[in-house]
Amino acid sequence: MSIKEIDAENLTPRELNSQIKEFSPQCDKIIIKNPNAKHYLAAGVVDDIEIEFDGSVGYFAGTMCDKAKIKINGNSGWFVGDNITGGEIIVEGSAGDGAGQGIYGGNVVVKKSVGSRTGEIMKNGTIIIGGNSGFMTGIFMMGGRIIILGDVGEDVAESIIRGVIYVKGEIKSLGHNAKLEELTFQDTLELDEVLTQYDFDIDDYSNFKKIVPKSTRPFYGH
Amino acid sequence: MPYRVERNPDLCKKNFGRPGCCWYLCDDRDEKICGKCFSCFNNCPHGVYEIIQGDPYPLNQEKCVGCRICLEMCPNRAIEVNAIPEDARQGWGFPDIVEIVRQSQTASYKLRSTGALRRIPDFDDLVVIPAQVSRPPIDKYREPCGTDVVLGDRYAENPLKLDTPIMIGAMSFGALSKEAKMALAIGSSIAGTVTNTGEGGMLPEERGLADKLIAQYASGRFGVSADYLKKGDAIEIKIGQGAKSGMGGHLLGEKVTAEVSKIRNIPEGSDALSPARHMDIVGPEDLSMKISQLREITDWKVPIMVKFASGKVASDVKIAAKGGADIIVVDGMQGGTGAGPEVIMEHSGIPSLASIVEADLALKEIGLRDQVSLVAAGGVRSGADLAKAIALGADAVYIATAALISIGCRVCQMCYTGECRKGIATQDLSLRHRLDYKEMGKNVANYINTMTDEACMLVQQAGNTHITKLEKENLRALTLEASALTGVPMAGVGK
Repeated sequence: MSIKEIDAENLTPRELNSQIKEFSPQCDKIIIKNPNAKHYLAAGVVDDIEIEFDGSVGYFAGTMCDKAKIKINGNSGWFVGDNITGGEIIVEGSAGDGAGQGIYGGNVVVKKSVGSRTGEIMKNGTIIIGGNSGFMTGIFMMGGRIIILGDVGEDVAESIIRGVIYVKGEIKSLGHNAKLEELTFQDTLELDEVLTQYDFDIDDYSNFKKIVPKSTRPFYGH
Repeated sequence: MPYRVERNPDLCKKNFGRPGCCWYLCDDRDEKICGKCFSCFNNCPHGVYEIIQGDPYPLNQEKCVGCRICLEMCPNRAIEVNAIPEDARQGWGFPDIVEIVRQSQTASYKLRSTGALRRIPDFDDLVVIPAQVSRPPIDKYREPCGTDVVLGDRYAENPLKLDTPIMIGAMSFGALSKEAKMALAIGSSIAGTVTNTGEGGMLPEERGLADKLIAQYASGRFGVSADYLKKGDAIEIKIGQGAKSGMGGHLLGEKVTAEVSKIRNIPEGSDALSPARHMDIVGPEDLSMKISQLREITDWKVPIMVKFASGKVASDVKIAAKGGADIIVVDGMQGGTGAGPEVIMEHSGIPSLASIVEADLALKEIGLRDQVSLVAAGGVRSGADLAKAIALGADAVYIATAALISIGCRVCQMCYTGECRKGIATQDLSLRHRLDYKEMGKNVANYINTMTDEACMLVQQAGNTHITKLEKENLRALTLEASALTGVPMAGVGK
């Protein structure tokens, strides 16, 4: 396995991203030291590569990546994993608002808690939050699934038209066009599979709540 | 204005050697069916006609908007559509009354396509003044007029280099058929300009046919990926559009077919209603960050554009310019759409004339006029409109509704139903077959080239040798309203 290490201490995001894109076709893994919460790190990387940030990252980390597997050994700012179309992003700490915003595929995993509007306008893929998620989680959701292992704030799944949100903890309130549905056995199997993959140890799925849309045409539907 | 639709029964019954209603590119010619012509009934987008005892009659005249598609598609020239004087009763016009009745019966606001239709100050209220002795004119037939422009060279490695300052504005796949998108792509390539994906993702066919293509980045993020952005020759962040300022895109479920569903990744048959604002752009710093984010993804190669509905133009333009935009688009209230609430179209936004002047001045005030390109959109129809927009301060213009008219649109305002009789704003295969995209692509190019030529005539008779050299001092206003909006002096009072 070929590994490249980059010290980002004195690099601008543009310089660092340029180096990541230069090396990503040539090696299996890139380790970035001292990311220092800079923004847009690893933006638009479409190579099948592992990228590990040894520290916290700023806004839009991993935005629009495709096959890359990104690990952040720290916290993340807003919109981590924005609009990814494949691969995975794992945040070992917490993340800000809009985690997994607009994703089309892949997995965004935050081990601790996140801010509000997790998974807004997402079309597909999976978001897992190990802790709590704030208000309007899943707003304008158009597909995919969100799994919250802690509590979730007000107006969950506001204006959702497709997709599913699972919540293990408390739900403060449901948003417009959202409803609760019975968890099926198939749901528990799928939950168990993906949660085990990311080392979340869940013994009992009976207290999970499942949120789905009431209608695919909540505004102009007939 | 109301219309009177008349059908001549004698002409209607005649057979001029053509088959019946389906002579208009029929796929399934059946002698028995063809013998009975229902072209007007079948093709009227507004349900004006009804069949009474086997013949079509224009019974629902109040629904007519004057698109004349029935007339155009009648094989026997049996139909006449004429505007009739409005019978206003103390300001209560016939259309007002019809709409109140409709609202009282349906309890719904009116959706339609196009943009503001009522009379507001526009380019027709200005004239270009000729050069004579104080400045000699340039000979249109013997001397050249430059039309090439470079847009977005502030930070981008590869700015847009166009043969004409006329660009085709954003209209999505979904709102438009694949054939319409392909026709626009072909036309833009022949004319040496650029077209725009709109917010519905990028068709491979469109990318293949367009020499230059702007990838739009709107609040719904439909079809957006790193690959999508990197295939664009510029990225346009759509903050808003003139026709429905303060609202996101509307694509009603009737047009979300399997193919549209796949490219947008939304459920088939669902309404694609984009959020009114980008969820991650709610202030000036956010816009600056978004521009930087898109630059990082596209490796600083292509221009980043920001498009606004014209409202608080000066503030919005300054924010975008200071935030790092290469190109700013101001879309006036005459800008069009495939679907939107009429109340927003008619009563929100400011005219295109005013927005160009305000944007130009705002850029000058912050010292970035030479670095940031300005594109005017909304109601541009002709070479004269282009010349006047440039004279007011624009570097280029968008055309959209006008481009659709060049491929057959007759502004029937029913795009949102998905039943466009011209195969333009529909996903219905039987209707799409009516649009010959190769031929229509040539029409688009002819139209753009002629517009450019017309603009050059005005440029040269005003004493200039390049299309971008027209200035505000070359204009005079014919109306007080236009003069007040633009600062252009009234005709006859110039120094």
